[in-house]
Amino acid sequence: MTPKDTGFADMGQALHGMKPVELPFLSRLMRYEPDGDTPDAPALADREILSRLIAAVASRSINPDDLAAALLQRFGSLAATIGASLPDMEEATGGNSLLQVYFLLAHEAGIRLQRARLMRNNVLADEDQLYAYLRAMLAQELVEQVRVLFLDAHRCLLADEMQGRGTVDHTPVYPREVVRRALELKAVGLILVHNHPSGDPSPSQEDIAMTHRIAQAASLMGITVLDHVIVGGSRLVSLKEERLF
Amino acid sequence: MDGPFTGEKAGTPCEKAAGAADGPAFASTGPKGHRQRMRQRVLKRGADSLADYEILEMLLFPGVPRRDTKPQAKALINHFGSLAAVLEAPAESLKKQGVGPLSTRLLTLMPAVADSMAKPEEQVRVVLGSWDALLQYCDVHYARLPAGQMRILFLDSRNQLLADEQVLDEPDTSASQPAVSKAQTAKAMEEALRSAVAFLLQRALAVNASAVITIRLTPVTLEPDRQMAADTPFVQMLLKEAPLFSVDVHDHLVLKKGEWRSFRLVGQEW
Repeated sequence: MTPKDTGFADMGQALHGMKPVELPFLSRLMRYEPDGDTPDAPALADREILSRLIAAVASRSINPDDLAAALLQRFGSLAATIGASLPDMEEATGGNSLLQVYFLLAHEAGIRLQRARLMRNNVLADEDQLYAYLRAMLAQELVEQVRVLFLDAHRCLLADEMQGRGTVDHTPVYPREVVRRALELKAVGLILVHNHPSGDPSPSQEDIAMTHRIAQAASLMGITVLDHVIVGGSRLVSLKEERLF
Repeated sequence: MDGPFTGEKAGTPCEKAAGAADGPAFASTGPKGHRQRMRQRVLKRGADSLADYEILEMLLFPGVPRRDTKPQAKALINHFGSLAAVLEAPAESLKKQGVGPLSTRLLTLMPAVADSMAKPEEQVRVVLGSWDALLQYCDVHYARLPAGQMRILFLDSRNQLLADEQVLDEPDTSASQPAVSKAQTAKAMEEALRSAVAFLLQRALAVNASAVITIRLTPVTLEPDRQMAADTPFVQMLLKEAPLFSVDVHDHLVLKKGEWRSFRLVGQEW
């Protein structure tokens, strides 16, 4: 006879609240294409992706493997190549505007895919997915950008907007503007995000002070600043996890 | 009959410089013109202002050379539910919806692109964060280079090597100058140094370097210390101008067959 507090009825309650687990490994298997792709390399290497992208788009006179190798040598990664500034891309592709266009499109498609994945669940449910999205958006940015993720009561993403863009060292962000927008969107939670183009995600005194200012203004309106994430290269620092606010 | 736009050509030099076209604004109203305009729009304003269906429409261009791809893009989004769903759909499902093989390959590539953009970066680049690393790099890469060259190592804020380039058209700072007036020589030298430093800093900006190390491969005929003295005007000019561009000059190294001199360590003004 089972004790009262661990009966089947309780287990039923617990199961009811559970969501199906996303297993990225499994979904990659299910995307496996039998038409020539090697089954034992689930993730395509940067070189292969870039080569295929070039092959699909550029004229036959260009050797996709050679160009991909040269671009990776120059930029270091696929993400850096397709996220490069226009002048850099122009120089590296020898002025091939068709390739430039498709690098820009691929970059944008990548961001939208990551955003869509983020929006399938609530934003705080899967830190890996949030970080994946933020990396896709900001890891290659050479200018400091401040963004705000506006969340509803269920922590679902209402909007993700750029709040300011500035010089390498200093980007002004005003609590007034952030809170005004949150009220417009009826957001009750905020995640602040910005990048350090230097590649070092360590928060500065001003970063922490700015977080406090916005948190203070927001809390008066019943809006919570849930976190402030800094993206430096592909490393991320969460001010919440570091207990800095 | 002239259309409304043919009479109003953008004429002034400033308008032309800003990219205004010569000739009518809508040279072709057919599909080719539309594709060209969309490509121009992406180049000029980026892809983030495009609607989801427009992104898909353009991804279908390469595989569909002549037809308008907008209807297909909209139909695919209707069928799969969203742009993301189309891009994540397996090849078989796309083919069932009438997507051709080239388009299928391009569309199914996008999730791999997304994953790659999201992953933490592997260390692809050489890190020159210590004397050992730097000297070893020079050993390996400069062993076969002709002596007399000057090279620049461009580094990012984590001392990762971004580029390694030769300085061409160097100012001749040797003592053997033709006999012109001292003032003229000094002025010409100053100009040449400025030009060399400007070129170096331009390259630093182009590769987004936050630091440089300059390296001289000393010729056989010269002692390292003499070489260092000869290089000093250049290094001093570089030290003066680089901070304005937020570029750090870590050091100037003079190398000769196993011997090395560091500008920093020699105790020159830093």
